[in-house]
Amino acid sequence: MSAGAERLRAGLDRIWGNQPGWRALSAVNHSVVGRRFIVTGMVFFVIGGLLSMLLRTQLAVAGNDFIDRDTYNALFTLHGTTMMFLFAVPILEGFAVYLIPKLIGTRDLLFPRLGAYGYWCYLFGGLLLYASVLADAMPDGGWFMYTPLTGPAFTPGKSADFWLLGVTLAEVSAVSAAVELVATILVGRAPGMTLRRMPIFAWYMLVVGFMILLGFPPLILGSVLLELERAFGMPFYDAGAGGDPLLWQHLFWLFGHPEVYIIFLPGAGMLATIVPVLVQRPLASYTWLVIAVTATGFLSFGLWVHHMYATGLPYLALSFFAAASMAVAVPTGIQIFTLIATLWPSRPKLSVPLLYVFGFFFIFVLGGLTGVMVALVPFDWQVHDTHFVVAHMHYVLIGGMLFPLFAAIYYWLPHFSGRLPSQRLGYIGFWLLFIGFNLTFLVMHLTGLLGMPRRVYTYSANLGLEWANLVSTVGGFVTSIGVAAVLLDLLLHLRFGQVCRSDPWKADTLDWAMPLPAPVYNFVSIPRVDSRMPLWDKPGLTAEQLAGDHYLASASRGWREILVSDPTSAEPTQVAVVPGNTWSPLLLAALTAAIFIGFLLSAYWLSVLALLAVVVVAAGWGWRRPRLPPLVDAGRGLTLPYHTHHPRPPGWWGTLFSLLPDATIGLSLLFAYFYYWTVGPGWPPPEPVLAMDWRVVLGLTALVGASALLVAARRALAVQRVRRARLSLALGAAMLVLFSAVGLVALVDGVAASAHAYGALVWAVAGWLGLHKLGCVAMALVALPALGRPGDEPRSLLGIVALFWHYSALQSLLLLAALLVFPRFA
Amino acid sequence: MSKPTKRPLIPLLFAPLIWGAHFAGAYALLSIGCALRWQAQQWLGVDLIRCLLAVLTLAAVGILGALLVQAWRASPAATETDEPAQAARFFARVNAGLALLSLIAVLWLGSAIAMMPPCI
Amino acid sequence: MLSSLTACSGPQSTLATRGPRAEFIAEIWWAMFAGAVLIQLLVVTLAIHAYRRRGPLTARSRRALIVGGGVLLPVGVLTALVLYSHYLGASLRDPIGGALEIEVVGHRFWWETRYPGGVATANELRLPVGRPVRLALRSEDVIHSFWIPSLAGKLDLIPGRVNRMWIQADQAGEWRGQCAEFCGSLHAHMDLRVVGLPPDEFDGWLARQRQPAKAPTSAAARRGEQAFLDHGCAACHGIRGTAADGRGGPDLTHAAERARRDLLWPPQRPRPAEWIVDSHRASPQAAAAVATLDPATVADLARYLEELR
Repeated sequence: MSAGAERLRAGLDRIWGNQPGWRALSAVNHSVVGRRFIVTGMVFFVIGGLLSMLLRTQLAVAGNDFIDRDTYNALFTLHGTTMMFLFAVPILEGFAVYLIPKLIGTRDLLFPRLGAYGYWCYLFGGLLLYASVLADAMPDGGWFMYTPLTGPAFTPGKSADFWLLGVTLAEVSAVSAAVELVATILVGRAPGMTLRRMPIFAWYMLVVGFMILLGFPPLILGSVLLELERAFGMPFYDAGAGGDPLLWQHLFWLFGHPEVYIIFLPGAGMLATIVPVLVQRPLASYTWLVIAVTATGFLSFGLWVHHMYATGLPYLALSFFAAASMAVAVPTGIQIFTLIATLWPSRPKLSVPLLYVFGFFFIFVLGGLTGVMVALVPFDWQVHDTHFVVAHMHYVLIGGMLFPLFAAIYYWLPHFSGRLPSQRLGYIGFWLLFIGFNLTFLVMHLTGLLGMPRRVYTYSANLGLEWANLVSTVGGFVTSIGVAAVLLDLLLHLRFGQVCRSDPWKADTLDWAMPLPAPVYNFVSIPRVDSRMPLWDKPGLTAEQLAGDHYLASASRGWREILVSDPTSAEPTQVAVVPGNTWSPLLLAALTAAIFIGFLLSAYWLSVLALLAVVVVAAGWGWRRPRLPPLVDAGRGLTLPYHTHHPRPPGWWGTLFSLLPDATIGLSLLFAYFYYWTVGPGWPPPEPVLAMDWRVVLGLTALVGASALLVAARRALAVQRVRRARLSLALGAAMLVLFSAVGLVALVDGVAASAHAYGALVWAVAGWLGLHKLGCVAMALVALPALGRPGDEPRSLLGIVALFWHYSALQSLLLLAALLVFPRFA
Repeated sequence: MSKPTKRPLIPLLFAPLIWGAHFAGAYALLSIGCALRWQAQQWLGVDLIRCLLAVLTLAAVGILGALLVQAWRASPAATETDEPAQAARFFARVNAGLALLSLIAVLWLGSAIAMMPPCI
Repeated sequence: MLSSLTACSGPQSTLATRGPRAEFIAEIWWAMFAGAVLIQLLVVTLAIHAYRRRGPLTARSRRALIVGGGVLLPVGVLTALVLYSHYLGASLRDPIGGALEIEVVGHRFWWETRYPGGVATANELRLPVGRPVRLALRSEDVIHSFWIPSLAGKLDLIPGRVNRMWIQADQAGEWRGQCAEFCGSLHAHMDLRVVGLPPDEFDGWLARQRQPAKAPTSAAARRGEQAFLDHGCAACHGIRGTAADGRGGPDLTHAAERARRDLLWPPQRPRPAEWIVDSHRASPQAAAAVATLDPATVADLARYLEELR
């Protein structure tokens, strides 16, 4: 290794390294954040597993009194909530956050602070949920918390609030990670890595990222509305006051169904990455997998009512969802058969990851088949809310997520630790897990058919359920021992595992083109790729990038630099400087948690203050932009602008994708409005009819005027008239304040928030729009001083502001049209 | 053979979005129609709601069929091996596959319209 | 293991069908089960075979496997299943004209059943064999789910709306239903006794139910009747033919004819007096109502209830 390369590596270590000791908590780079997600996820997995063993012990015999009924109800709620929100999604996100930059050939995700913020929100959300145990107020409404059981009338006290606030925090985490992943996959790829050359896992996470951006917000909205009902009596879900309990189910399952595909797809993507390496041959059809994962992503949004077949909706409506539920089985089948075709024929070594692949085939396919069964409406009418469905969902979740996860853990383990685990413990763990799992859940199909509903702390002895439940409990213990064996293996290998300094699998993807354990900055120089399997087609690539032969082989500038490229051609267009160690994500997450804690303690002043503080700190992220020269030498003769001087900097892409969850909440509000209209008699109620008086007209004019002023500001900037641009922007911001202070206030004037769901919804819309305008004004205030800076920076900044302002104006007009114009026609 | 598009990810979305628009439109139409009691009115011997749903479905099937044919035809000949041709072939195949799966999904939903009355 | 042989014919089994709707669904289940076993065997065999075989497979045959197994097989099987599903549900939802209409109201944690003629009972559903019955389902509090596996699939009871389903028993006998939507603390105990009666027996039973309550005969029962009115029991419980007309709790007009539901576990077969106190554990208000009663009063009340045939 040349002295130059040595110095380069040392320099990169310095620039990208974490601070020592406890100060490492300020680290934001993706490897650290990914590892945090994974480790925390595993801890919650163990907690969730322990909870399930308590449940199984109680159910082992009829009439058991191991756990009393109220505790049991809380335990199954916590078990489901922990596994779905605190384990499955976060740990897969953790893997994506860790792996994606390595797979696509970059040094970090585009928004490290956002990713770190997401982790802390997740941790605080989980802690908040479990604080309910200490407060003796464990949520006990089931992991999907149906109203009106969880409404203020039937769940007084704070238990449901712990759930709502803790889970919403965890969801914010998922959405932030999704923005990062989508943006990075699209514009952060290595030079030459066109869309059809990118690793299949990148396609999977691109689709999953969009699914999270569109699928999580309905539940965020639903949870906020339920919290508002519990805190302020706004009767969104109260049938007696114009609301509808079924609205919760729609909003929940609009999230809930995509959620399970969000859980399945990353696992499948990891298998699609691992299997070709294990058989040393490319995927049987990359194209079919891209088709399948895209189709699955879309179709999964058309299934949600299949969780509501028993609610009495018209059969034709249910059939739409039955049709889509069956349709999604086709791309799933394509993925299964592509993996089989890739394996066939070969005789690969039966390594531990491969064992888990076969476990996946057996378990997930069985789960998929029972899924097709329950997609059939009449059959579901019998098995809905019984242990048959419990069996089905565990087969698809454990088969489709846990087994691939364990395959991935074993496969990528040397990346994290630089050591190999024990083959023998791995084998033992797998077989105990496989046998134990089937023992637990196979017989549960029968239990459900024999009449055992879900969520019962005990059952009658004369239903013939005892032997099956006992078998399930025994199986549960076997499974636990299997999990313990795996965990033991992982712990022991850290000390006793055989050292592994480089790729043990002879893999084809860039993630193995580095020494192990992986350096924080991934690549000494960013490689150019020209094929789908860079390490198989160019075996010297690893040595080349290590020697600094490729892009960004420089530590002299002292910043953390990554390449940003065109999404289609993958040719580099700019060099982005990403933030290093900082405490602001932790601070921001703590402030976000404080907003929620304010609601928990009914100390709403705390929530308001914390919200303002969040806006200030977040604005600070935009404020503290690095002062960068216009151009930089990116290596190999390429000169590129720095991101602050590019019209489409990473911030623009981040803002663009953040619009998706935002728009989804707006659309969900619109959905709620029209849903109430189709369902309820007397909607909108005769009183009040919203006024279309001068205040509203003034407000609307101000809204449109603000957008026009922003356009004027951009025009002024284009001809270097900075003062005029500043004036226009400031005036535009003032217009938005006018819109909020006059227009929105007029909207809610005289409307009671807690008498009828209609009033409640008007207030909710007004609040939502007001929050938006707060964000718009904050962005403008951040941009104003920067307009005088040299170069292209002001234009790029204003471009981002414009994106959000105009979008917000459109959404405001749409929602206001529904509220003000529609009732005159209905 | 059409020249490769600059932003191929966007046409990729067309077929699934047509499926999505059809799905959302059908559910909305059914919900609104039942709320407004359109099933009492008749067009050509069938209730109004199912008529409209049928029209929506036929439109979606037509568009998806056209997308499928277009995608299939857009694939460059196998003799062209440069990167733009490979990319064009890749996206043509993906678009065709998505059009096919979307078409199947629309047909399965559409068949329900023919087989049962609305609103009960 | 012996119980497994009888389990399939258990009182709450979806596979031991006693009515046409459940029978239909059970047939579908067996057909799908057979299909699923075949497909599972196919896929697992292919996967294992993939691992074992040597020798190359051309790219073309690989793609054929993907298209054949991943597209053609699912599309073929599922088209049939989708069309079948559409066809089935329409027929299962057909409204039956001229059916007997019974209203079922869900409470936490008991079932209120109301028959034509002002008859109200609790936790029990009696059906005439061979005649279709139309159920109108609603809830007074949270979402419950009405489920008698041997007769039909389930349907939710949702506050703010009325759901309707038809149901029919094809044989006489006694089975069990259970609430299938988590409704709170005692959800696991919200079961329903279902009795199928030959039509003439059913008509006789309904006619007797329409009669007002019998006047108490024994002294203890007469004291109990007075205690009933004095201690506010009438605020929740109705007894037709007396001054008690409460609607919040189960109607007790002919309470002694109904089997007592066990809220304790294991079943204690408590004496009536104990049962009165235990059955009120469902809600804090109900528990408070009986907490102030002394044993003598409870014994009198029990005697009174026993005579309400």
